[in-house]
Amino acid sequence: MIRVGICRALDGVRFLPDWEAFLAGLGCEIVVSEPTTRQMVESGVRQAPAELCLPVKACVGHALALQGRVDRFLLPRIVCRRTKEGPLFGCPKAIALPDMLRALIPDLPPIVEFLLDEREGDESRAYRELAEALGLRKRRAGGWPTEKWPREKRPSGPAAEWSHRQVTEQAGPGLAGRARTPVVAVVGHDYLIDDDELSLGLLPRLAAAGAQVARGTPEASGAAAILPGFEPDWLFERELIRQALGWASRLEVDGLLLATSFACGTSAVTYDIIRRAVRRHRPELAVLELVFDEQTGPAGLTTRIESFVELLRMRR
Amino acid sequence: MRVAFPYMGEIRLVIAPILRELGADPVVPPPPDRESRTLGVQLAPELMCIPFKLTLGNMVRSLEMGADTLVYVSGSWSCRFGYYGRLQAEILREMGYRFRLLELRHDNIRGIVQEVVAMSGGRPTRALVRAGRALRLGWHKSVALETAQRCFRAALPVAARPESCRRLLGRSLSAVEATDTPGGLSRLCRRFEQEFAELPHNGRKRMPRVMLVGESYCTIEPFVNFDVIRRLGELGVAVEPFLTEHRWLGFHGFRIGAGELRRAKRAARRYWRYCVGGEDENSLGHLLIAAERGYDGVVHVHPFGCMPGTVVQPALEAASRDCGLGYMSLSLDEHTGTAGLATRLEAFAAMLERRARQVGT
Repeated sequence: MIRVGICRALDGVRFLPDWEAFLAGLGCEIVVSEPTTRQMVESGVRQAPAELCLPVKACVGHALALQGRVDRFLLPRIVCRRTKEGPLFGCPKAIALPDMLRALIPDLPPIVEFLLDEREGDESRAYRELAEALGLRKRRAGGWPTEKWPREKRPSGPAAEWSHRQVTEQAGPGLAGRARTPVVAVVGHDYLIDDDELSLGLLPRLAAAGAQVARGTPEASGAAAILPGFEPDWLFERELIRQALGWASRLEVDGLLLATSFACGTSAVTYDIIRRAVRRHRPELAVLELVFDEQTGPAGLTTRIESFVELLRMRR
Repeated sequence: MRVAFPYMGEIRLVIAPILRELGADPVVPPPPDRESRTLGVQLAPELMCIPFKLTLGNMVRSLEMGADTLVYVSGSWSCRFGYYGRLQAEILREMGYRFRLLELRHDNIRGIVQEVVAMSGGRPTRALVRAGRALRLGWHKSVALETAQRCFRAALPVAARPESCRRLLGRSLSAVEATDTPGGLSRLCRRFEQEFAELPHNGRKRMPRVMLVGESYCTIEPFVNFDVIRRLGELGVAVEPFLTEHRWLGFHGFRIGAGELRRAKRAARRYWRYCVGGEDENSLGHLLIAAERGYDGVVHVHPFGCMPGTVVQPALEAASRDCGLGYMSLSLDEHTGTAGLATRLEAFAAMLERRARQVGT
């Protein structure tokens, strides 16, 4: 039985349920790396080029942690997805990750790719090629995940169109109910915000500071929708722009927190677009941008979060 | 129509006459300098790459000089380069500038043709004649520019007085700018070959050879790469950039050199299976071609935070290790101090010198 290792890092985690089902159907054993630990980050930071962003460095750490426990590595290359809005592309660093890892850690087990480039072939082709790369050509019961879960049966909406995991409003009931609790919309890549090791526990810290966190794509925008100046053709970044501007248009949201990692190339463009749009349409909205790198001391972060929440409370 | 365009290196010497022949009025700001850098750094997002900041600074200057149309090469792809035009337009409009944004993209060829016809007063035949003339002149300018730079690169490491070699390049470029006939430009080419060959020789017989690879703007624009070709040349190292203004224009305009690109891609395949932009695959391929051709080393330049430029680094390192090539990577940003760089280049040159001697014996 082939043991296939999957890194719990970057946007690949969105495909995790599908891959697990697919690989189990092919009779592989799946080993997913544990949630990020300090040790993984440190080993990744030591190995990877200094200029990379933290999540990619952490991904290198995940790969190192799996080394020796697996026969193959499965890494995604989400190059292009065809959507109703035209072809949208993945982050260049994530696309180049398999090649980079091969060069960086020469004694890594062979890497198999989940190459999704819908300019050239659809998802079922990506799965077929994955099976071939694993040396398993036979089609097993259960079929390809795409057949099990065809496009038209997936949850609709611009975000769900390209992500399997539907990201919906996660604000909970009574958003505007409590008068003294400021509502902070947190926008950023899930692989950063949901990873408490990388974001130094951003979400728990916000909660501890007394803020109510709104996340995901809001189900409805406010009275007047905020439109961005333009939208770059990056798959996951479009989602972030929609999330940020969706929340910014809702009056019950007091503050917008944009989280990113140092040297994240796409957010330099995306967050600039968001800030400009917010400044044009809702200038009174407080915006805080937090940039994460491999620094580990949380004290500075706590102070900034507390003062931000306090400011919002005073304004309320 | 007063047209401005972002440019790198001496590309303006080619594009400005083409635009003039087409019937537009090109506005060419001075080459990037401290002022454009300061402007760009102030206005651009902090973590944006340096080519964006420098071209933004230059666009502000061209708008101040009266430009009313900004022309950008753009596209949709995962590298940030494709979004330069739209993002800079956002920033400049918020500053209160009024202008028209013209994007040169593959899916807008029709619009570009219409634009060119409009510049000739809406007469297609006239536009066609003008376009033919413009391209012919542009081609000759580009060839003359390439000849001057090639002769300069060959002459500098063996020049007895590097400063006179530098001055000759300056004079040659002015001559390219001033000459507007294809015949005159061809004569210039022959003159350049002769003049650079006549420079006094310093007697050096063998010199280390280095290939300059990396992101296009950083490779071509001397202001941002600290004029690395000249610096290494003065240390006695012959530098051959994998990309020059002429090759960039030729490839992006007319797919000239596509064969070489295919060769580079094939060579790079062992290390790099998917091109993400920023000339990553091309750089890697040229590193391997350099090894094949007996070069001694490779210098890789990329803007700080460049997404493709960063991820390709481990592959470049691995490839240069496998081929036994000297390798140096320069990450470039708005940093201006040259002392650290000079030390690194001297050490690199000395290392190459030693390596060349060892290989020679």
